[in-house]
Formats: sequence, C-alpha cells, structure tokens
Amino acid sequence: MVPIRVLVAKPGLDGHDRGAKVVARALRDAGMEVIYTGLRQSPEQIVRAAIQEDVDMVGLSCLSGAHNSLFPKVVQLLKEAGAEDIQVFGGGVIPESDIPGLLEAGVRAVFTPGTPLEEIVNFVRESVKKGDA
Amino acid sequence: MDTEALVQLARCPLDNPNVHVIGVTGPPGGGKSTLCGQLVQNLAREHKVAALLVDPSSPYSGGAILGDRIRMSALSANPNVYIRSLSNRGNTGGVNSTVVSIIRAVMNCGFEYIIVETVGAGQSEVKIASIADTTLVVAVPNLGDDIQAFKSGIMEIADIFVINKADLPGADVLFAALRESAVRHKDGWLTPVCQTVAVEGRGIDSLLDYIRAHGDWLRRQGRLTEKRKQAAKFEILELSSYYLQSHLDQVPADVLAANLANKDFNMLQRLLDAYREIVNSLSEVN
Amino acid sequence: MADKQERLAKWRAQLEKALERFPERKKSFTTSSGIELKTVYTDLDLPPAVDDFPLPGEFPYTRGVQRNMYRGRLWTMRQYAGFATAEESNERYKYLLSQGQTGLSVAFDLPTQIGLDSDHPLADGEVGKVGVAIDSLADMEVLFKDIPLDKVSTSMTINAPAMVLLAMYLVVAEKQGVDWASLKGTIQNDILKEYVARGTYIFPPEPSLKIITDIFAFCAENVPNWNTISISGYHIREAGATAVQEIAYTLANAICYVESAIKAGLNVDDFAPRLSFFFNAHSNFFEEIAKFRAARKLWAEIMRHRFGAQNPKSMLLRFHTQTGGSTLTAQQPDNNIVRVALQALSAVLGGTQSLHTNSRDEALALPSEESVRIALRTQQIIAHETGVADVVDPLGGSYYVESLTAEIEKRVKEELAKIDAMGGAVTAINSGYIQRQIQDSAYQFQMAVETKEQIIVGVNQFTVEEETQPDLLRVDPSVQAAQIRRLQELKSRRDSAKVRQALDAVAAAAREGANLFPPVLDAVRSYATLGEICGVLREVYGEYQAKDLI
Repeated sequence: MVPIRVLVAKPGLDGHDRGAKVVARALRDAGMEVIYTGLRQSPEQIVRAAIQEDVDMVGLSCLSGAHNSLFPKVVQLLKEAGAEDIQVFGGGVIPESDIPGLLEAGVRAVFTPGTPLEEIVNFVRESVKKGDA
Repeated sequence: MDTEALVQLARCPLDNPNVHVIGVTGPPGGGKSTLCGQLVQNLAREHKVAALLVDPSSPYSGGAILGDRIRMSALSANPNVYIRSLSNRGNTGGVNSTVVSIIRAVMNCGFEYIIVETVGAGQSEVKIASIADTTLVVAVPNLGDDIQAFKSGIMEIADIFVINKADLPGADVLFAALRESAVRHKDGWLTPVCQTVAVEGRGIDSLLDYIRAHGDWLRRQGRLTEKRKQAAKFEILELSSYYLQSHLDQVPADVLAANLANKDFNMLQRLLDAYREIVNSLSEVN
Repeated sequence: MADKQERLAKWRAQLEKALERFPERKKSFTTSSGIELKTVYTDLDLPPAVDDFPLPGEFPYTRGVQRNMYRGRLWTMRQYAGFATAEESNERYKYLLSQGQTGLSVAFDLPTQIGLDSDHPLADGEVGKVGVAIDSLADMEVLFKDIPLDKVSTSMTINAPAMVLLAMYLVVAEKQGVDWASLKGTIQNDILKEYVARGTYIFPPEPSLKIITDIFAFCAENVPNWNTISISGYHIREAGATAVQEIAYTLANAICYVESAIKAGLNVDDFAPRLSFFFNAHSNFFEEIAKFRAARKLWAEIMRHRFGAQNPKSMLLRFHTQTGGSTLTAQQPDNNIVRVALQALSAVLGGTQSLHTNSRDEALALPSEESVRIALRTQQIIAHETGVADVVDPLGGSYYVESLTAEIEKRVKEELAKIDAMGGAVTAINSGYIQRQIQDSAYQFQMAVETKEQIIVGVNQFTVEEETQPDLLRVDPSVQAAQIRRLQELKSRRDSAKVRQALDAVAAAAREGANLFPPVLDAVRSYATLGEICGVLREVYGEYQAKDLI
C-alpha cells in the first residue's frame, strides 16, 4: 500500500493557515503523507514543490480573495511542466459564484468553510484512485 | 511502492566518486533542519544539491506530515536545489527503506551533493552511517543531558561532530567533552568538532571545509567505494524486511497465527527456505 | 457554611438519584477551554477576591477600567473597513465622517501589510483585495485628502511595517499643518502574534522588537496621544486557541514588549499608558465575559507587581473587541447575525472599550454594505434598547461568573509560568511551542465538530438545502493595474538621488542600532516606497523563517 501524497499549500500572502493545517492533519490521520509548504508561496514555488515531491494532489488554501488568479495559475503551470496528472483542489473563503470558473480552469473541487473533513479526505482518496485507473 | 521502479533504480550505479552523500543526524532540538538549509544554500552556489528530509510517520494511521520543507522554503526557487520530503514509513533508525534507491536516482540526475537529514526523534538513529559517505552528528549545548543523549551509539558513527547554537552558554563544556571523546577511525581520521550558529550562518564555511576534507580522505584511502557497497547492502536488507513486513501486514493476524508453523502450510519454514535459496544461489552466480 | 455544604450534599444526592432515570444531555459540560462545569454554582464557589469588595475603576479593575463605564460614554463602535484604492477609501471615510463617525479604521491590503509594493510578483492577485493598497506617501496623501487629522482618531491595522505607515501619517499631518501632539489613533504594531497566528511578519523577532521599542520611544516624545501598540489576542483565537490560551499568549507577548522597552531604557510609566489590547468574542457566552474580567485583573497585577508601575493608567487593560470571524458559517449566513449579537453582548458585559461586529457574509467574502449596516445596528440595539449598558459590570457577584473568572485567571497564570520557564514569549515562539498548542486546540475543536460533540447550527445539524448566495462585494480586478501604473509614475517623477540617499540613511541607522524613526520619516518624505524602505531593512535584518511545524 503506497500512501497517497498531498502537497498542502498557501498561495499568495494571507497568513490564515488554520484551515490548511487542520486539513493537513486530517489527511495525515487518514494515512496520507502531507507536505505543507508554509505561507506566502508563489504558484511557481508550489508547482516546483509538487513536482519534486511527486505528490498525487495539491490542496490550495486562500482566504484573501486572490483565489481567482492564484488557483488557475497553479493548474496552468503544472500543465506547462507536463505534470497535469497532479490534480489540484482548493478551499477557503470563496464565493459560490466563483466556483464554476475555478472548476472550468481545471481545479477539481473547491471546499468552502464548514465542509466536513471526511468529505475532503474521501474526495482525495477517490480522485487518486480514479487517476490511477 | 512500485516494485518495478525499485528494480529499475537498483540498476542505477551508486559508485560515482564525484558525488558526496552527507548524512545529518542528532537529537531533537539541535537545529538540524536549519543547519541543513545552510549547507544546501552554500553548496548550491556552485553545485547541484539534493536534500532528502526524513520525518516520522504516525504509528496510528501510517500517514505523516512532512514539515522540514518549510525550513528550506527560501531555497525552493533555486534551480540547483532538489528537495524531497520522506516519511520514515515506520522504519526506526532515522531513515526509510527506500532512501538508497532515491540516492541512486538523484546521483544519476547529476546532483553532486546529496544531503540526508534523519528523523531526529531522539532514538538511536545510527542507520544513516550505513548510507552516507560522511555522517554529521549535531549537538547543542545544555539540551538536557547532552552527553547522555550521545551515549546511545551515536558517538561512534560521527565523522564530524557539530555543536550548533554554539553561542549558547555551555558550548565550551560540550566542546571539551566531545574533543575528549572524539573517535579516531581506523586509518586515521580524527573526528573533528565544529562549532556553528546555523540561524546566523556562522561556522558553515569551516564545516564545509571539514566535510570536503573527509570526502577527500575517503577517496584517498579508497574507502568511498567501500562505503557505497555498505549502502547497497543496507538497501537490500531494508527493502527486503520492509516488503516482508508490508506483505505480512496485509494478512489478517489470525490467518498468520494459524499458518505460522502448520503441518499443511509451514509459512516460517517456507520463508526461511526461500531466503536460504536466494543466498545460496548468489554463490553460484559469483 | 457547614450548613450550606450539608444542604448542597443532600441536594446533590437527590439529583444523582434522579439522574439514574433521566441522564443528562452530555456526560460532562465544559467550556471552550475545557473547564468542567458544575450543575449549579452557589456562594460556596465565590473566589476569595470577591471578599475584597472590588469596585470598577479601582485596582485590580476586574469590574471595569472606569467607575461609571458606559453610563458616561458608550463604547466606541468602530467597524474595520478597507477599500481597494486610496481614492475609494477616502470617499468612504469622508462619507462616514459626514454621518457623525469620529473614528476611522484602516484596513490595508496584504502586500502593504508585509512591506511589498504593488508591482512585486508575490503581490499579484492581492492588490486592494483585503484593504487599501499603499505604496508611498503619495497614496497616503490621497487616503486622507480633505480629512482634518486633528479632528479624527485613526486606527491602522498594520504590524511589521507599522513604523513606515505611521511615518506616512505623520508627514500627511505635517503637510496639513497639524501638530503631531494633537494626533489620536492606534497602530496594531504587534509582531509577536504575527509569528504565532496571523502570518504578516517580515523580520525576525529581535529586530522587530527593536523597531517596536523605537516607535514607543519616538512617540512618547513626539506623538504623545498615539496608542503605539494594540496587543492582540484576536488572531490567536481565530487560529484556534481557547479562551484561556487567547489571554495567556496575549499577556505573554505583552510582557515581552514591556520587558523590551524597559531594556531599551524606557521608564515603564512613560509608555505603558499607551498600550492597548484587542480581544475576540466567541460564542461560549459566560466564558467570554469571565475571560475579559480575568484579563483585566491579570494585567493590572502584572504591571504593578512584576514591572513596578506606579501610574494607575499603566495598569489599565483597555481593549477593543471584535466578534469571532471563525465562528461565522457560510451555511445559512443570516444565522450569523444572531451569533454576532450574542458575542457582542458578551463583549459589552465584559467591559470592552470599543467593538467591531462582524457582518453575516464574512465567511463568504468581504462584507456588503447592507451587511455592515446590520452589524452596526446590532451594536446600537445592545447600546440603546437592552439596558445592559446602564449598570457597570452587571454580572459581578454572579456565583458562576465570579468562579469562572477566578478559574480562567488561575489557568492563564499556569500557562504564563510555563512560558516564563521557557525564557519568555520569543523563546516559546521560536521553539514552536505556542503555535503547536494553538494547532492542537484547533484540531480538537474541529474533531468535536466532526463527531457532533460540538454542534454548529446549520453546519453539522439543522442543515437545509442552501439557496443561492446573496450579493457579494467584489473588488474590481483592474485595481491592480491602476495601482502599479500609479507607482511607476511616482517613481519616474521623484528625485531618485534623494530617495537613494534617504534609503542609505535608513540602512545605516539599522546597522548602527540608532532609532529608526527619524531616517524612516525622511525616506517617506522623499517618496521612497514602502517596498523600498522595507527592502533595505530586509537586507540588514534578514527575513523571518516560519517555525510552525504541524
């Protein structure tokens, strides 16, 4: 059984990492290996880390409202680096009306405040399983 | 793990003498990550450097939070630097079972320095000495009973002692104590004691001088080849026990118990026979 | 006494008999800080401190910092707000002032908060998002255009680059011909909580503390009515801390600031009266009230006994409160109005000096104008309709609240002793201790929510199929380009030799350890940008590397 590897990243400048850290722990407790990048990561840094760490998924957390430019940028840079097999999901304070645009840009799922951790864990498990098939 | 990939990796040569594998170990709280960050930063000015950072996995879930990368986030944009976070995946001894396979991979991707940082959980992390060309043991002054922390076999594996946070009171005492007990390896390498203040980048240059000196010494003595053979031996030992365990883990305990040494299916006997057969056939090949 | 105990024992025996048949809703009842609660509190639970006949406005100020509190003047209703550009913010401030508001509260965008100009690559997507973008004195001039700075009090949520923003404010005042002595306001300037909770740090702790004490020293002499720091538990709580941890870590940080200032040669009574605090109001109603009361007593005693303060003003814990942003839910957002009302009530019953009430839609986006108005009306209803502001400390003497106050005080003291033993707040932060404690609490709380041990209405119980979200405020994406253009124009028209010279002087002062404020003022006057000034300081001081492991 190879553990699923997930990069949990904070793109942009906001310092609110409570959600990112709680999700990281929940994924750990579900048996996954989680690499946390820390704050203030540029999309370029996140993509580099994702590739070097050979993760299955990247989870992005943003609470400052900069998600519309940052999340799609990460997806696009992964693609440019030939690493589109690494799937991206996101979370944070994200208005409902922004979600379709993010999904369209290639973000696999967006989790807003109040999402049960179990839902996120299951999503990651299922997505990685599907990606392998 | 993908076994096919492991076999592929095992074909990659491990004997490149121009690559230097540096292990960094020591009790928790010693600033190992910061020190590694400094080493990587300095080396990456002129060389390609890979950092393999091992963190512990949770004994409950098997998952892990690999946080060492944060300490090197300033380096993550440097094209000369490759950082890989590893879970020990339950392995005690400070590293994980595939670390040599990963060393093979990065060695064959043109990295000139490979730094392996052990878990640093305070238990006796001596396996690193079987992997690295040069092993750094990092201590800090007044971290509990420092010398005591060293007595768990970790003294003997040091090629270089590093007293980090050497600006703290008590550094002199530790320095004297380590000097006193410095180990003289056979063939004459006298383990030096270096003092650093990693957060300020102090003492890193002279530490690097010692690291290079040790590398040169290994090559001069013809011991580097020896070291790499040790590492390959470690690789097969660790991989085989890891795979045995992970396969056994998938079988329910009651099934294992029932067939341990059963008349109809004597698992233990079969296992031992299989091992013996493999080892015996080795002598035929050679 | 013996008689009371006997009656209570008998009463408990009867209760326990009944419980065999009708068990309670939970096995145990605890507050957010894990304080286990009794079924009922009696005068046997009153702490000894109550025997001292405590009165508001008297040491140790448990019951309030003034004798008559809100009977004299209500708390300040101060809503934090920021808008994309200096022009828009300026328009908004002028509107608010025309409506009779006297206090402004400035929210800056994230690049400004971490000392980056709007054209920095990391600023991409963040310019003007959570507040106004300020790159130079030119933006600050626009922000306060036609606003008489001697007539308003201005609160600025700015930390790592607080000196630069305050210097800009002072130069704007200078240009308006306003005497610095008549300026009133607050800078947050609390760097330690940035390392543990909020994340907008720039430099490592030691130089950051040096900058803070430079501000204390400069303002004590030149801007005497300015609140030089707002020591904040708010963000620590938002990051997941319990009520006890919120107070403990805030006070540990406060102790560190006082020690640094004393070490820098300042007299405690010269700067301590200008220290102010900022706390959170979460939903565990009585625990929050007790928390505020305990914090006041703890601080008064720390200042008098630990630091030997003589001036009673040095002992007063004056604080601003904001309701708990992290308690708001994206689900059924109108429920947030009720949460905010109850939290605000606890802050008022706890004796706050000023209050920000959150808007119902903050879990979704920046608040809309209508939501902000409801939030403000909530405060006005508490102030004018409920009557709770008519008596000082109305819950003083409550068996439960007094007992809880004493228990919180005890637990905070234990945590403070631990941090003292480690060597103080900076060591505790550098080792990651405080961050880990907060993360553990955050995770435990989340687990309680997942297991429904903690019910969040509309989230893990009483859920409904959500309707489409209401209208949300959006920041025009063209703001970034416009701001960058403005920055480039400024750079082309200013005297760059003068800027270089001023920046060199800042770097020299930083290297020599002289007070940074005068050279920073000169740099601001030369229209050096925030990013340039922080940039030379980054070169001298280095940047903080996060220690927070999970």
